[in-house]
Amino acid sequence: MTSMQRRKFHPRATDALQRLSDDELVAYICVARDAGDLNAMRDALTVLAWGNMAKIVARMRLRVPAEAAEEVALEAFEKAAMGAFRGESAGQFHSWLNKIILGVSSDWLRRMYNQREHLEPLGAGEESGSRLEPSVASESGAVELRLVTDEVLAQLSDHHRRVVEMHVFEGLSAPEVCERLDGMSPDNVAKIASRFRQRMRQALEGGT
Amino acid sequence: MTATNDTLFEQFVDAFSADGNTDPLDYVRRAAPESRLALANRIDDYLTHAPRRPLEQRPADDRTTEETVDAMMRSLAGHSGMWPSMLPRLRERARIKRSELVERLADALGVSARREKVAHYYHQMELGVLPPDGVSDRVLDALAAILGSSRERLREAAAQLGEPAADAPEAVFARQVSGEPAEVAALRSEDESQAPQLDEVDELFRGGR
Repeated sequence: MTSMQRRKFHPRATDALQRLSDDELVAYICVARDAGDLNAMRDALTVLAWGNMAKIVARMRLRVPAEAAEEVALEAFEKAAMGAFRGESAGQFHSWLNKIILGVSSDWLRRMYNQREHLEPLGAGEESGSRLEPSVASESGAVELRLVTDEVLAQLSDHHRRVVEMHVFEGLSAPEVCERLDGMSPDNVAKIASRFRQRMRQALEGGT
Repeated sequence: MTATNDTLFEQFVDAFSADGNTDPLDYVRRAAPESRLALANRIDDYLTHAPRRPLEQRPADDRTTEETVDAMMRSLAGHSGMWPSMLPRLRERARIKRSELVERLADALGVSARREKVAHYYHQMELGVLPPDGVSDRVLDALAAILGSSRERLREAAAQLGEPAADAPEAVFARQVSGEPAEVAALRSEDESQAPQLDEVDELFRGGR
């Protein structure tokens, strides 16, 4: 679109932007984009991002470990915003964002609990096909799983909890964990992670 | 004695409204075990409907919002959908530096001798200036394997938002170009000054599926 063809666009002051709803902000950003007004886009995006990110991070802390919450929240916000700019949410930014928060946190949990088992041999006593498949698709499933995780972690010693956080949650390989923690062998790391998953399964089945 | 859910909920709302950085789990953990899920869901519902934080509360050193907005500006003004935000995030999650990723990508594509050119194109992907339709399935498959994603996800993320305003990308990307590696800058000027003569790497990144 050339400047001659651009729509007439009147940028708004920050105060006025803050009074707009999320859907109105999305619409404003789209018009600013069509008009090629980068400053207006940036101002409105800042209002949208700053205003929503803290809430999304807090909601993610109810679903995923604290160290991952911000990254997963960013992913959810960007997906929701870009979907809205593509017109996929059609004036329903809020409910669209909600769906994406559930989807992104569910994806993260599945990856976190199952990834290691794809990469490394199963631990002692762990059978193939026993991969943890958290039921996180429902509205509160991920929150419930997070609380169970919290309880199971609380039963571990500080040292073992750190192993689980690094290996299972942060995705470090067993040798990488050993580099960071004294007195730990890759075999120990695998066993601790395996026992953690077994306890999680038992807790989710109500067997603790 | 365990605090009631009403008390804990009110305490959370007060703290969160004041600083926006309060961890709800700190309050959920203080509830009786049998009522934790109910409190967590109540807090979640509150957060779902809470108003946006006003800009007046934003600290001067808030880099997170600035970086988020930068990545989204590149996506909105560029040609590559969400690649500018998605690719660096996947790379960070996989704990791979850009130079290492480029090396592995070039090896996987069988063009190790043209690593600089692969770096040039990958840099364009992260900047959002490389049209995704030109990027071959081979490149996306190799990239997905390195980053722990899938070709389909990468293609889906690259879905465009319609054409940006004509001069928008240059203005958004101007601030990025200064940070590019020297060999990439050299290739950029080579690209801009010479007539197009596609080699194998060009075909992989610009020749389509």
